[in-house]
Amino acid sequence: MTAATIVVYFLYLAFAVFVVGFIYRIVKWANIPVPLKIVTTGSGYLDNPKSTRAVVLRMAGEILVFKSLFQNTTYDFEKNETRSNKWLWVGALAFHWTLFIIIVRQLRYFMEPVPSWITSLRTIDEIGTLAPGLYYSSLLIIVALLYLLIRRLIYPELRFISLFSDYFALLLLLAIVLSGDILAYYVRVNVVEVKVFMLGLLAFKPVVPELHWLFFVHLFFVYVLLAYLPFSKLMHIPGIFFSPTRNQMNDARVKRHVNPWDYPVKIESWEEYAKRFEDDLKAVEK
Amino acid sequence: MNIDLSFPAKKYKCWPAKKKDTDVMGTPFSRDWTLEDWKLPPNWQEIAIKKLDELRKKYRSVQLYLDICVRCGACADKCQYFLGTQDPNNMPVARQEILRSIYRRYYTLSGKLFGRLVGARELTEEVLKDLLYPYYYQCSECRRCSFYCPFGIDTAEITMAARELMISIGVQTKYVTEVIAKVHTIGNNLGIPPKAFYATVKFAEEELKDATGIDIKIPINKKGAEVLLVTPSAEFFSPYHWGTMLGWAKMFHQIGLDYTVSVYASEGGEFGLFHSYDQTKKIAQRIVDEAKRLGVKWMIGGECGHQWRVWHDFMNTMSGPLDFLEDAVSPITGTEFGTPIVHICEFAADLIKHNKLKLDPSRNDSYIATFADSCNPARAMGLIEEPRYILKHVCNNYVEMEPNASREKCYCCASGGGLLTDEILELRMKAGRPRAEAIRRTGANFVTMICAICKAATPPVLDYWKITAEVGGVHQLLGNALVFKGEVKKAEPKVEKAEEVGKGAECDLCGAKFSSMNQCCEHAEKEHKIARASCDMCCKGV
Repeated sequence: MTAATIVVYFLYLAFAVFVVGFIYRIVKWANIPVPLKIVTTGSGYLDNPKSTRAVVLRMAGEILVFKSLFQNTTYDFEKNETRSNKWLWVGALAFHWTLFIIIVRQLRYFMEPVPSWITSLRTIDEIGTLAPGLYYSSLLIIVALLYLLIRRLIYPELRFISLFSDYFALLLLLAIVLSGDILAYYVRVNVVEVKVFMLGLLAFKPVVPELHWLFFVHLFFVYVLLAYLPFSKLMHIPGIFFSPTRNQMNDARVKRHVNPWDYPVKIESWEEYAKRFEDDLKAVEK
Repeated sequence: MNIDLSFPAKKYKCWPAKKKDTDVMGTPFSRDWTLEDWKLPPNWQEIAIKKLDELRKKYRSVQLYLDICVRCGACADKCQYFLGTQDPNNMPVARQEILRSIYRRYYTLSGKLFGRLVGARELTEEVLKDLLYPYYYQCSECRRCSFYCPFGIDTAEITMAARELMISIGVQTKYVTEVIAKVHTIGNNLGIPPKAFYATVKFAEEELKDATGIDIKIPINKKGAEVLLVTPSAEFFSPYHWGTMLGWAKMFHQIGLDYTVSVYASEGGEFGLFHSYDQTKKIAQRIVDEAKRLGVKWMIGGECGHQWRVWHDFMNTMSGPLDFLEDAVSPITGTEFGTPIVHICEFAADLIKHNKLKLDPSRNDSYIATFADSCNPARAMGLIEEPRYILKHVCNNYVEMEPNASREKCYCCASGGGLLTDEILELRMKAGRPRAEAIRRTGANFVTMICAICKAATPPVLDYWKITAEVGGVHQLLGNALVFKGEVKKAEPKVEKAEEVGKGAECDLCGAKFSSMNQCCEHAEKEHKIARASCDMCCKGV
């Protein structure tokens, strides 16, 4: 078996793990009952959703602009006061949106012909002559990732809750982004060959090209991330859609929510109670 | 942010449940145990781990929230127990990690393979005694963290699961089980038997007569009434709640509502919520059964927080369908509520909106009132504007609390969720601070709340942090402002002070006699769970 075949097998295996694992986890969640209404409510139309429209808008707000995180605060222990604090929101939003833009931009490696809107997105994102091959999003994501990493290291409360897997995810993403940027800026990898390779993978007729070793490192990290995703906290991506506190409607009093595993209970009836307190009740009801 | 790695909150442990109470409730491994000798069943680990599996297969929330937390830390400084103690295990994320680590160890591949590296933890006796038990009883299930979580992860769901897990091996607290056992045997949290219940209502009616010169009745067990009213039993027996009862009694009298309260179902406050699905359902069932027996058309629920988590979100599911009731229609205004379960503030706000109450807000001019939202009405039912609407119409000086500590962002009084017990008083005082300081900054001298636990828990917290403000209900101020035709005196009810200490005393509840007021108060606290500060409600000098 040549090195090239091993690479190809690995890529297919990692991708299969990702797809199967991802679907498995989602199906598993979907099959667990939601016995009760546990929607979290607040003031206003979105946080007190009484219609499907409101729920959809609320979820859209959570997913697109991290609505709940936007309301984040910090507690001032000196003054015992709660103050607005948007840094985590800014950092998280910057990271997720740039990652999304990068993924969308790179879809061009998997599509022929490339849709015009992806090309336009690229044109907007491109830095141009100052840093040819680089994009605003691919630089901003480094800043965002470093912020997310550094806050885990410097704040004692975050150091306390951070696990190895939290650092692992951030470092892996950093490695992917940095290797990608280096490929684009210094190595100037032949994108045509990359695209041929990717389309070949998609068509199950892969021909591994002669490219810079860093390209394969980059690719390796990406597929490690994909294979790791279903086993990790990164499942928050599909998970948020299932979150009952956000995706339920606040209508439990109006429309009965049914618990599939509900069961009848036995309690002391009024008759038994009245008998036990016969003397009491006689004395007062006369 | 400072965290205290000596884990100062580990020492706050609620007292263990008594066999006599857990027997009544029918929970497994009912026994008398102590914090020194837990008397755990021999295969407790196996049982607990199995229970965890059962829970994650019954509740999507549990499985999902165990899976998707990214530990971003947005929730960390949202919890009053963390702010009060700076114990890192009291950060909601860390609280969840206690159960999550056990879940990882037994039910995830990575946890089985890599153990501690991926944050998996064996369920040992130490984990049970120093993590699960203390920290899941330092969560008031207030869901403030859930509001800030970008995924809506609800620590209350995890806390409830952890408590159910402990209950499966007979580990539960004295306070919660004692109260639930009282509901099952007597009908209310305070353990007021029918005779005393009637007596206290009579006492209230006399007080109302004294204050207004009008015969205001509180109907009890009246068959065929239109509305069943269920309030926390504290309203019938403790000073900070008493005024609220007088308030709604006056209001219902003025509009002539055909309602009744019940002895059998004399408790709104749902302690089942702090315990298990099973007990929550049993307590809710009691109210539904009573509504059926009395033949009422619909129900009004009083100023109570946890009651409303259950009434609003769970009751229709657990004890429904409530098809023997009718959707409420206010007989005075004709407003259709679209549900048979109506909050007293919704009802009153509707009356005020339609101008059906005769109000003189100047009667509350001695007060600068503020409204401190309670967790469950705000974050579980979205009842936020109605109490404010009422207050703005019944008093002239109303001030809002700061936005970051009110409405859905309100802090917990720090005694909800089954924590209103004095062995963890220090914790309650510390954790009560964020809310207390926000109250201080309003400059108000009267804090209104619509939760019985808030009303009971807040006065000592305000006292501890040297804030001078009275505590009471929204309907207390509403009652003060009500004007009656032919009334004799200014309608401001007064709470009678207890007799001097030193003389003999008698407990109104059970008739026991004591040589001093002090002893009687001690007895009231121990036997009837009536806070020392409020013992004058049941201890009378003789």
